[in-house]
Amino acid sequence: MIDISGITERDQNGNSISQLAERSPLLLVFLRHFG
Amino acid sequence: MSKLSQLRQEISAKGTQLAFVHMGAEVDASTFFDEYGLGDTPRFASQNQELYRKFGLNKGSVTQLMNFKTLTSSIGAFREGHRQGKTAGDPAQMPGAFLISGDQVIRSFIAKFPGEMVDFVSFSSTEVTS
Repeated sequence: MIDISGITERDQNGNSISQLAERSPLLLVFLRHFG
Repeated sequence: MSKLSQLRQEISAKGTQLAFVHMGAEVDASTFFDEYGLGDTPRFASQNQELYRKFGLNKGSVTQLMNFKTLTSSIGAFREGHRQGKTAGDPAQMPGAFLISGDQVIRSFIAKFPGEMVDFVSFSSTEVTS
């Protein structure tokens, strides 16, 4: 069980995952690398 | 990445927001996401991969990273015109996707090999299918 509310990382605008997912469902894609 | 850029409108039509987690520096990520028209999508930098671990995404084993499916996926990407530049991140890190609503993960996808992809549009729907 992932504790979403306990995740403190913020996006480039200062929002947490739970703040974003409160507004509407969030598809969170984890990239392997970029470049 | 280009596929997700193309699918963004369809994902949005499902009422779902798109967001990313990456392992690069924000200055590099800003340029990269802008190139794909995704500069305004939320993105979380996790250079120490802590956020990956919180979601159960680990580094791939040798057999996950070097197998026929990975090779054919790489060839397919090359044929579509994608070229590997300077890498930001960890090529051994396995990718994944999660659909989150409120504080709940309602759908999860953890890749079995690096090039494995999910149908992002179906995945992003919160509708229950029987």
